[in-house]
Formats: sequence, C-alpha cells, structure tokens
Amino acid sequence: MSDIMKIGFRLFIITVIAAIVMGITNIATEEPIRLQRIKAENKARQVALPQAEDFRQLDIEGGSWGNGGAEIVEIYTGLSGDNVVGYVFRVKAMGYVGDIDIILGINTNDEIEAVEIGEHSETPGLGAKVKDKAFLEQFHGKGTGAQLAAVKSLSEDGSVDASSSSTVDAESSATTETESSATVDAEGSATTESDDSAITDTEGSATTDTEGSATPDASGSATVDGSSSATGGATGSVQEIQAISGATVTSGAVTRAINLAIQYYNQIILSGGGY
Amino acid sequence: MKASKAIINGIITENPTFRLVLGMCPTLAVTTAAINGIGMGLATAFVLIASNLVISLLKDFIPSQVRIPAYIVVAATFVTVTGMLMEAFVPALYESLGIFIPLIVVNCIILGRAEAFASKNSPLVAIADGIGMGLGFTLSLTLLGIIREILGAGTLFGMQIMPQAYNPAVIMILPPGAFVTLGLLLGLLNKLTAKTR
Amino acid sequence: MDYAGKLFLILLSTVLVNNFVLSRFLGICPFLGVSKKVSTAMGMGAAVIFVMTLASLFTYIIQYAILEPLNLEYLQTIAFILVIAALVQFVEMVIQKMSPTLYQALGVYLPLITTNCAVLGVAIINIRENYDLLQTLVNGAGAALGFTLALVLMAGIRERLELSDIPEPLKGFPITLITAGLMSVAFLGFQGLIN
Repeated sequence: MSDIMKIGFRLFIITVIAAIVMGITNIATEEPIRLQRIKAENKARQVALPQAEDFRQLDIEGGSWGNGGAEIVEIYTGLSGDNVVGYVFRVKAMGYVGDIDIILGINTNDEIEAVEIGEHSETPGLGAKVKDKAFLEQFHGKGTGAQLAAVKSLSEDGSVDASSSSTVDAESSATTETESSATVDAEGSATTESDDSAITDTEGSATTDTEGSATPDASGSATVDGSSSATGGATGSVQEIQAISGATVTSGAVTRAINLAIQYYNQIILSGGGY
Repeated sequence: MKASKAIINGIITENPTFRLVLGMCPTLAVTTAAINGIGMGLATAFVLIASNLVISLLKDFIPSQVRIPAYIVVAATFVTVTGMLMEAFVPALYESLGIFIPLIVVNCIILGRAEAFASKNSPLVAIADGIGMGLGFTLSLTLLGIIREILGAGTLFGMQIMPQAYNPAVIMILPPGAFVTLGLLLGLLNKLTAKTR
Repeated sequence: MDYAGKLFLILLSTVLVNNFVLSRFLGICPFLGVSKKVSTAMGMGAAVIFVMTLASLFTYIIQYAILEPLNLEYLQTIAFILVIAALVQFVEMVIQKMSPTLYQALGVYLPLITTNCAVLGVAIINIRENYDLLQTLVNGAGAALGFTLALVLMAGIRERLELSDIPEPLKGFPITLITAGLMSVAFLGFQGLIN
C-alpha cells in the first residue's frame, strides 16, 4: 500500500510543479497574447478601412443576416476621432472547400474601400488566389448602388446585360425597381477546380423586393431558387468582377459575401440603422 | 555515450526523420514552406531538450510504473509553455503551425527519446541528445520545406526564386507532394547509404 | 441548413474530403506501421474508432465543464493527453480480456494509440470548430472511420506490393509513402463534394 502511496505522491508532485510552471507562463504571456489577438483583428479591419482608427461593434439587425451560402458575422463602425468614416463587415461564405472569412470596408462615399480575405481552406494555387492583390483590388471603389457579379471574362464596357452575359443564367437574375438593392448573384458556369469540364451551376439567390425594405426572415436565409425571377424588368447594371481562372466557385463566393454586405449597408445602415 | 557523439548521432546516424522515421505527422504537414519547417523544428527541439533534461534529472525520482504518464506530464508542460510563448511573441509562425504545436506532445521523438535515452543517461548527455535530435529534425524539415516551397510555389522563404515563366507545381504543397517527396528522399538516401556499405 | 444535414456533412467531410490521414496528416505513424495486413489494419481501426469517439466525448466534457469555467484553457494540451492516455490503458485491458489474439496482433501499436496524433488532433479540432456535443461525437467517429478507411486501403495495397518487384532502395517506407501520395491524389478528387 505504501508503495502505491509513494508512487502516487511522486506523480502528484511532478504534476503540481508542472501546473505551477504553466500557470506562471500563462500569467507572463497573458497580456502579450491578448494584445496580439486584438492587434490581429484590428489589423484586418484597418486593411479594409484604412482611414479608421477605432472600431465599434454594431449589433446585426434581426440577430442574423444571411442568404444561402453567405452570412454576416460582424459589423463595425469605423471611426476617426468622433467621425464615422465607414463600416467594416465581416462575412462568412461557403467556398469550394469550406468557409471563407471575408472582411470588407465601405466608406462614407458609398464605395467599397477594400476587401481582405481571412481564414479559408481553398485550394492553394486556385481558390486560394482570392487572396491575391490582383483579384481583391477589383473591388476597390465599386459603388454600393449595384450588385457585383463574378464573371469569367469582362465584357467590354464593364457592365453586363444580365441576359446576354455568358456566365449569367438569365432566369435567375432579377432586379427590382425599388431603391433597395436587389441582391442578385449569379454564378454561371461552375467549372470544377480539378478539371475543366464545364458544369453549369447557377446559384441564384434573388431576394424579391417589391416594397422597399427587404429583410430576410428571422432565420436569416432568404434564398430563392434560380428559377423564380423577381418582377420588374432587368434594369440596373451589374458591376463585373473578373473571376479567378479555375476558381469561379471561390470567386463567386467572395462576391456573394460582398453583395450581402452591400445589401445590409443599403437596407439597414443607410436607413439609419447604424452608428 | 559522450555528449559530442550524441549530437552527431542525432543529426546523422540516427536522424529522426530519415533513419528513425519518427515524427512523420508534422514532417509532412508543415513543410509547405521552408520557414515553417524551421519554426516547427526549433519548437520541437526546444521541447525535446527541455524535456530530456528534466527527465534525466528526475530519473531516480520518477517511479518506473508511472514513467509514461510522468514523461507525458513533463512533455506537455513544455509544449504548453512553448505554445504560449509563440502565440505571444511570434504570432505569424504560431498561426502557420496551427494545430501541430500542441501536437508536439505526441511527437514520437519526444516520448521515444525520453524512454530510450533521457531516462538512462546523465543530464549533460541528455541535453546533447536533445540538441542532436532537435537539429537533425530541424534540418530534415527545412530540407523538405525548401524542396516543396521551391517546386510548389516558386519561392524560398517568401522570396521569388524561380523565373517568372515557371508555373508552380501546386501539387507539391498539397498532401500528395508531401508524401511523394519524403518517399523519394528516403529512397534516395537508402540508395546512397547502401553504396557506402 | 437543418441540423441533421449539417451532421451528415461533418461526417462526409471528415471521412472523405478532409480525410485525417491523407489530407490532414494526422495518424501517419500507425498508418505507416500497422498497415501491412488487412486483418491487423481492421483491428487497429476498430480500436481507434472506439478510442477516438470516447476521447472526443471526454475531452468535450473536460473543456466545457472544467477548463473554460475556470479559465484554464491553457491546460488543454496536458488535460487532453492525460485523458487519452488513461483511455488507451483502459482499452488495452478490455482488448486483452476480450480478444487475446487481437491483443497479440496489435502488440506495441496498441499503447501507441496514445501518441497517435489523430486522437489528440480530433479532440482539439472539435473544440476549435466549436462543435456541440453531437457534432463532436460525429466528427470523432467520422475521423476514426476515415483513418480506418485509409489504413485498410493501404494494407490492401501493401499486401499486393509484397508480391511485386520493387527496387531495393524503395523497399519499406519509401514505397509506402509514395503509395500514400497516390492515394492522397485520389482523395483530392473529393474536394468540392460539399458545396
């Protein structure tokens, strides 16, 4: 019996010392770690909205806001001193392999300031290229008045007539005539990233809006399948984004996320929901 | 075994990656870039040296029947400490290595050396073994990382090395690239050492 | 998407798309070591499924009932690995009683399940992904299933490789690793399955 006691006691001593060592290190590194985490989060937000020095979190209207493959995770007001200089959205969108973390800033000129990609698990060399400057720079300066669409090849004047673009399935593109933005995100040919067999896959999430305020239902998903196009003629142009070759799904996912943020911006923030 | 011999042993004769074939999980996983290989190697080396030292110092105190749990406690302590230090002071590396930092505790090299060496040798020699094995591991990881990064991304330590015309063989930084590169390296090594026998 | 659907996705993802061995590099050591015969591989797989599912359960409880309420998250590594070590001891005793032949066949690889990065790995992943209890169990079991799948497939291939003419330097680990590489290419094809 005393043998077991001796063994148990010694093991106990070792464990206690171990706990003390870890506890001390924890106390010593707690502050640096906390600062690093805040720094990392602020860094991402500041890339999205460089003119902001400080950020204040906003509650998401209705608790959650999302549609189909994208969902808004966080919204921050960007402040410089006491002035609101813009808003930073953090959106999560389902990419080719998994969720993509997208951070974008919209400034007070109703333009997208910048887009930053956070965590993702897309294929290196293909979907992961959404992190490339060349792709993300396209979003800079795009206005929030019209939706964005990721297309395989840009049409000549930069805006696309929904029914003639080779990548948009005319059936699922819908615009409304009211002032709130119609979220249309059509992603035409989804070529698989490993071989180039073109399987057309249109994911059309169209929120039909006849009256002016379109809030998704409480559960946050307002998806409409591709075939139910909204009423109204195809007015308004769609802003084009060049999709990454071989990564149309990922490009489309990022675009969809940004459209969602734009939708929120137009519907909630501009009508006084933000501060 | 003398201390100096132990160091050479760990780097060459009993190189943990190419001879003992231990610690495969991090070897394959983090070597997508040379810098990750170095970071992981050094972190593991730190844990190995510290753990070897403590276990050697306590070798008479630790009862034989509970030696494995005791080794685990010691190793886990140093892994936790390393993780916290990395998160506080080198956050970028901490993020790249991700889940493989806590997984150092189950790296067979750590427990393997504790059982086979540290518990049977003096502290000085145990430290030397830790240094040797740690260096050997770091060198192997770095080698693998260099190969995969140059071929798979065209860069080395983030700097563009391959000419612009080179289209990176992305598969090198994906899982298949890891397996095949290590397999071929091992095969090559076997061929070279077979000749000298 | 509904809850059951999400569970199924987790299962599918962890067995095929993000296979623990061939995509995530967890569980390589036993994968290279135990995969010589299909029967041993299956026995090992069964043991691992048992350990990983239970480990997922216990580590979940420890994380949310003890570590977080007491602000001791930094003790996660040591708490988890000790739980796993104890669990493996327990499973060893059970197998010894229930199937001495399997116990003999697995030999030293049984206690080595403790150092199988897949077990500790899945426990940590469950927490990092913020899975609830049911999702944790599904992910744990699924990961182990994926591991077993990879293990048995490799064993099948290796049994045949034994009869082939392999160049001397490549015998043993090199050819096994290259085989794993080819298997991993095949599994890459599963990406995009979930969209």
